[in-house]
Amino acid sequence: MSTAVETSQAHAAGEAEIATFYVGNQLMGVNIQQVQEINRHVKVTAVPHALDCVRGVINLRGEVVTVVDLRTILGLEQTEISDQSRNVIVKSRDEKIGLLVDRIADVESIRTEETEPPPANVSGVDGRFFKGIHKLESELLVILDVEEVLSTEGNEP
Amino acid sequence: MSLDNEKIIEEFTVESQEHLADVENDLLAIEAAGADIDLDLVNKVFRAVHSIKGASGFLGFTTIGELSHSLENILNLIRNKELVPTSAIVDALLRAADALRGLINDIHHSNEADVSEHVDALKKVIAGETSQSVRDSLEQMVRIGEPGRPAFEVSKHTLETQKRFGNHLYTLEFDLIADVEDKGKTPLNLVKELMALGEMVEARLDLANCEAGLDGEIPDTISFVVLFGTVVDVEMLADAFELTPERVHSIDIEDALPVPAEAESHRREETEKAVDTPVPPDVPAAEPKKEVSATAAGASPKPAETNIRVSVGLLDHLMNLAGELVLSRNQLIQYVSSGRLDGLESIASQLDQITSELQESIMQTRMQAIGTVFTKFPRVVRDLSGKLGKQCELTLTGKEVELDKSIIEAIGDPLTHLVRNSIDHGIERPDQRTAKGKNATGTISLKAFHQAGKVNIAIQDDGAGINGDKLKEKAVAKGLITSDQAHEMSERDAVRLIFHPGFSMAEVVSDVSGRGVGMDVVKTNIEKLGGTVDIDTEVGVGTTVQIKLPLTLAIIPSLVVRGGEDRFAIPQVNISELVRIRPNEVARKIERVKDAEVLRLRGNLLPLLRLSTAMGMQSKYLDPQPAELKDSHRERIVDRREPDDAAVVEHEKSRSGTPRRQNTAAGALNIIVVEAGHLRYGLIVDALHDSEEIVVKPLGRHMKDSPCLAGATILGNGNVALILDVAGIASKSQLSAPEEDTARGEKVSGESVSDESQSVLLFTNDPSEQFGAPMGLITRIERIRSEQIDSVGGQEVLQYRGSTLPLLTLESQIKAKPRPEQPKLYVVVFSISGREVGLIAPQLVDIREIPAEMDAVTFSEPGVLGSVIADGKTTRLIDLFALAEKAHPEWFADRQSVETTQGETPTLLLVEDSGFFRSQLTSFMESEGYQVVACEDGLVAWGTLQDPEQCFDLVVTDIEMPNMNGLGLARKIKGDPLFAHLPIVAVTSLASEEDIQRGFEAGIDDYQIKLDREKLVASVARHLKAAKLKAGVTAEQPATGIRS
Repeated sequence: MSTAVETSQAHAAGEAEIATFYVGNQLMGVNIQQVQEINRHVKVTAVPHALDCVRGVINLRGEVVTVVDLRTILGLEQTEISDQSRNVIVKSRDEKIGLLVDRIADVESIRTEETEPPPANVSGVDGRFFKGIHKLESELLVILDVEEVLSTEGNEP
Repeated sequence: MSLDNEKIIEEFTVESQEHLADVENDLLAIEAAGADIDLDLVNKVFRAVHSIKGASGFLGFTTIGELSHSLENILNLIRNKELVPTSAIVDALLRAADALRGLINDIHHSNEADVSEHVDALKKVIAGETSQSVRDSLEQMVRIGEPGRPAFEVSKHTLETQKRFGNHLYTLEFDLIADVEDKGKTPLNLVKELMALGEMVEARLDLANCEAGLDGEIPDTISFVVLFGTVVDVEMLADAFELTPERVHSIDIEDALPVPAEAESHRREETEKAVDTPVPPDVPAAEPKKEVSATAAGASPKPAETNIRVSVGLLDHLMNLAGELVLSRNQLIQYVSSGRLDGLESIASQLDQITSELQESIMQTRMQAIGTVFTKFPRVVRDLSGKLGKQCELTLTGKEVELDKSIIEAIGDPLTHLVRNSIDHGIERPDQRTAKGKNATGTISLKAFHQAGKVNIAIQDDGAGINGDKLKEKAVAKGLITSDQAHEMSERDAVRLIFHPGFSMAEVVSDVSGRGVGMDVVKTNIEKLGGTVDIDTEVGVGTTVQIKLPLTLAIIPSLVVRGGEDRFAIPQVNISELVRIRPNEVARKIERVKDAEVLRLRGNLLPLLRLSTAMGMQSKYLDPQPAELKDSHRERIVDRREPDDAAVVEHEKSRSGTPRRQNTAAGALNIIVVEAGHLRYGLIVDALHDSEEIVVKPLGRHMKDSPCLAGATILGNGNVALILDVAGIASKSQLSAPEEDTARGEKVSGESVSDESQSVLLFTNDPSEQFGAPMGLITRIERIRSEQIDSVGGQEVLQYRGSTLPLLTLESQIKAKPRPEQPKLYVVVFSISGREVGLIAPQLVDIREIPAEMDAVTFSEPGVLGSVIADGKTTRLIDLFALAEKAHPEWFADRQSVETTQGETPTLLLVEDSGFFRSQLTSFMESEGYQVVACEDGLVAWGTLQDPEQCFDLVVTDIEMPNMNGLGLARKIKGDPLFAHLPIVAVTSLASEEDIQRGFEAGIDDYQIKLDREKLVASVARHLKAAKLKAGVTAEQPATGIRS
């Protein structure tokens, strides 16, 4: 037990790589460890009577994967699909889930100790979805709490 | 401990679980046998417990050792006939065995568990039930061992037992390093070897040595000493275990036994004080602790099954298939890289075949007999009925029925709940039962059987039944339904209220079934498995809960349809038939009842739902336009009893559906008649696609709550299709079965005396003449192009799937106008004399229930059964057999004539209320060479049977008849020793599986369709022969047997 805690602390103090993307005009990111792959948003099968945030399901090499609209979850209007739309496939509680984002950006290496706790709200989005905020040279990077984003409770109005 | 490694422990757990698996039922059998002790059985249990004890000692599981030791003691007494297994004793044993199982399932915490309660209970059994001398000898400990050698303390009783079995007693000294590990064995192997040769009376592991091993140094020796009782002599023993003679010590039992007289009297006083005084000599004293132990056993963690046994043959087969798969892949890669396309098809079909075979074989490895679940019920029934003061008998049938492992694992809980419910609420108390004139002992039967590609499990009791009105009252009181709804509710729906969440059946919530887990949970759990559950009850008679489960969860045949823009898969098991309604028929066939669309289908109303609406999508469908009148046609696609054919025709349907896409767009309706439990409704889909075998994939957690979906699958084109949950859609749309629908199979017109009707396919040859063919005889219907028909030597044949199908035309056989030329036509396929024959039916009209009574005179000619009025048109009913016989007499030339070996013509008793069928069947059978005596109902038949002048060989009976029906007659015949030997063949118009089941229970030997002359004749001949054989065996003297 004690060793596990130590490693995670060591990790927290070190560097982390964050896969970043835009949701609206806001740069957001998740730890690259959690990202399985990033796909074009292609053929999605709509799921009737599902939660509003569910865009549908896709065939990811034989696996049926749910795609959720990150914008809807964050309380913004629905994402409009464009050439730049991407699904960021993350692994959460042993399930692969696609996060639909507007546009993908770089992988940023950040020093975790420089991450600041999130304010109550960023560009109109509830702060509970954020793990922290990181100041990049040109803009702010919001680091998402994937589990909170994908929680099926309380995200729906 | 160095020995204490996970692998050995796992092996121990698995083996112990296997040992314990049968113990429960064996104990119940021991109880049933009572004083008449079955030594083999007791020995079996003893050895099971003994092995656990032996191995646990090794692995340091002292608690398990202690408990199994106590169990072993009792079993030992039983097998020595020093203890008679009473109910109370078996109770204690069962509870201890439960606890033991609990310990083993949670092996790592077993040493912390407290089993003193069970150990005490078992001790009390000994104290209460055994004679003084036995108790004494158990109490008296004897020290065995020479000075300087390891010594054991065992009870005098143990020694006496060994002596009684004629065993020699030895101490064996093993070194676990040199004798076991270095020889590549595990300690468990050693235990097994020991058990094979005798009994390990005691064993000791030298732990001091082992602890030293913890320092990182592997100890040189670990001494393991066994006190061993066996009939084998010393040399053989040393040989068998490869032990040097000095490590095998023979012990003289006589010497070891203490001097009897004084020792015994001395001990007696002590034991009497110690044992008798504080403990009432009565075993039921153990009862108060029952609750605790029961919960302890119930709450113990379930063993997660991680291993599965697969036969080596199957494994080899899989290996071969894998080999073939690799070969095909290599071939495929070669072809693709060479750019050739010509041979690709054969590789594709090869791959297809291997894949299907592989899939099938892998499925087989997962199939397990449902018996593994059933075996726990004798105990459940015994315990619970005892607790509730009821008497129940349990019958189990179909233990060998196999289901996918995952279903087997999940079905246990729902079944237990249902069985508990049956005992708690169904079966009445003995006094109540006797007052009602029932047997004091109630019967619960668990039955598993295959039906239409599904596994059915029926839990049936002959208890009080469920009062639908009471349920309604209660539901209204609870606010689950309004009183209006209750008023409108049918009896069937009312009974189904018990599946409503928050509805407990017991008026007084008992601790047995009213603990918050209601029937709704059972229903949900079964539905999660892709199954359905329904209930059938009759107040005062009993209740049957019927569960239908798919064989496997992973791959299911299904029909792909389109609703809105998306494709959906509907599991084939839910589909009962497909109905296509042409635009011009829509207005006539679809009616509106209170805002709901219903389809008039064969005289019944079927509620309709639009798939796109149910799914909250925009229907991509043009408005139907009622237009000019044309001939109506509808295909009955699914003959439910023959799923293979159904699939074939469906395939045909979807193929033929494609070119008619324009037709679809013009407003024809595709309706899929689906079934979920007793609920039946039509789902209007926007288009039909293929039928496919789909692989079920679970949906993610964001969609877990969607009631309309059962999962997802990936189609051939790579897109995801959702799998529809038929029952979920119905409940989401608040659909309930209309009254008319539940009375399915009702006649359309009730003019005739007979209550029966016949399902008939109506078609025209020339559009002005309507004909009918009995549905029961039709295998399937094909739609073909007229150019597919070849004329060979005056015989029309259909080129069909690589072979030819002989075709019959009406105009060539009977007086009928010739068919008009048309590009496409239908062929009605039926089989006769083992071959398939097609009848050209240019235009299909409908499927109708027509009354069984018909005019057999007006159009009398070979090939025509008679005529009826259907849809206002005179319709001639075709006799398919006569037609075939007329066209091809050579097919029937080799038909066997009736066996009249004894020089007598067999006499049949024919019971049939419909005059038409009576004369039909009489002429059938008479033309086969039988003598037929016909009666118009069961009562008359029963009277005729009593006539001493008459002697019958077989009974052919209808089921539905006035005065006494076929089932009643069958019961009477089978209940009378004079007639019980008579085979009974029932004839019906079209029987459901349930009817057939009921018939078999009543004693009917076979079921045949009335107009299926060929099968009926074959069945009669077969049963006559069987009856004759049987009679021969019992009647003939052995002497005559030899002479002949």
